[in-house]
Amino acid sequence: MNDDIHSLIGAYAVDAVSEDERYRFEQHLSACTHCQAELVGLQAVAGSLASASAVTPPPSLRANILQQIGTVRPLPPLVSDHDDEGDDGGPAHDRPAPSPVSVESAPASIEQARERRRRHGVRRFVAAAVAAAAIVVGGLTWHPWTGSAPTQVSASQQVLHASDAQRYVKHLGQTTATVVRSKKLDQSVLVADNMAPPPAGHAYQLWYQTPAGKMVSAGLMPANASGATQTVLLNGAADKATGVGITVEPAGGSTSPTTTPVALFSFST
Amino acid sequence: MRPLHSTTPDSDGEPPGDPLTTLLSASARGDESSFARLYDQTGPRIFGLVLRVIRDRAQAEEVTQEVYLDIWRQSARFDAARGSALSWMMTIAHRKSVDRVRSSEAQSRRDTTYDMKQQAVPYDTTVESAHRGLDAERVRKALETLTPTQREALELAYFGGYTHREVAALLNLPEGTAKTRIRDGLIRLRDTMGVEQ
Repeated sequence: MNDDIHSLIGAYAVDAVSEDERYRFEQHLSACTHCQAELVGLQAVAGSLASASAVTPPPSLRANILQQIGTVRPLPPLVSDHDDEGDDGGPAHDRPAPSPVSVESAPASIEQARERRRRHGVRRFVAAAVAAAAIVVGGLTWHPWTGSAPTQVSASQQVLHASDAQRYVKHLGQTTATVVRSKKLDQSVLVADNMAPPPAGHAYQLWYQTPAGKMVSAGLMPANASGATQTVLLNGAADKATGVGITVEPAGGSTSPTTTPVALFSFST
Repeated sequence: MRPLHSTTPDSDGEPPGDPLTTLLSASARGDESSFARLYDQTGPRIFGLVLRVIRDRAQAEEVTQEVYLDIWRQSARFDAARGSALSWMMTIAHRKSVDRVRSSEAQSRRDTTYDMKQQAVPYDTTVESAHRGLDAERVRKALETLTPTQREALELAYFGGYTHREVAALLNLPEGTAKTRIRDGLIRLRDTMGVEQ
């Protein structure tokens, strides 16, 4: 191709490219053996830059990861040979997102993965949400902080695993909140990671928005320690709801929202 | 642990004896204890990188967890011809970290009105007291051979998660210059460290 695209190789190796440049470079990469060879060395160098930054992770992270992988089967190796050109996203990727643990058919390489993510921005979003849900699914069997009766846990799990589960994600500062809805089960679950505790004397209240635009209480979030993951099954009918809102209310909750929502999830898209 | 891929680009990649490669292939067969050992041998490196890019400890833990889940899932797809196991893992970790800082920025711009009150998580000082092995020493020496602009451009890109255009703007470089500084800096590092190995 041209010099311009060749010269992106360094920026590409350190992920300092825009999505568009990534796409163009990977197109180029698939045809340029020189860049392919050079990239191996540059990525290795990039990785070594962090060698002075090692930080011992908390033991809880190890426990979480090892527990989580127990719920996920590694992808099989690629045995056919349609894995080698970056250009076949393939019809497989037009399928709806499957259940939490099998996110999508796996790309053969990071390069392909990146390209697919670029070309399937929405899918990437869905996949991220699915992955978030998968983490929580792993957590449910182990962590007392879900704080719910076993029947409630399994109801949440059913929603998270539902074949028609739809996921809506919001990033709010350090918090990632995901609403997973199953129309079939007529229920939804809120998964909140790292949500700050509500102000003293207050609670987070969940709301369903009705087609008429009314907010109907879907229950309170139980208080939990900062940094943990909370999984809450919402009360009420999810199927007809047009969205979910979270507000800060006086402890015990309100009959209708009294503050501006901290998060709103619209089901309409 | 070998941070650098010392073989020439056209060779067959890591020798079969690379312990991380062995642990990865065992993981691909579902061997959780091998994966645990893989985690123990790489965890500080991966977590340290993610934390340095993301800075927020809680988010860094979350992303590190995603990184390892991805490594577990993709373990059978690792191709030693495309670099060492550690380099592959670091590439995954870096990409996910950069994705996260960029998306939370975009999100926080969009969600300012609904911004949740957050408890500030102090930046962890263990970064400063991170253990510094031979690798780190070698990298530090190699970094000294770069021009200040090459070094700055590289660090802003790699640890700051900025695109090369953003790096150019931050360093008041003409657009299009930062990407060559980044590339030249990486090549120089590769050559310097390669020679020493």
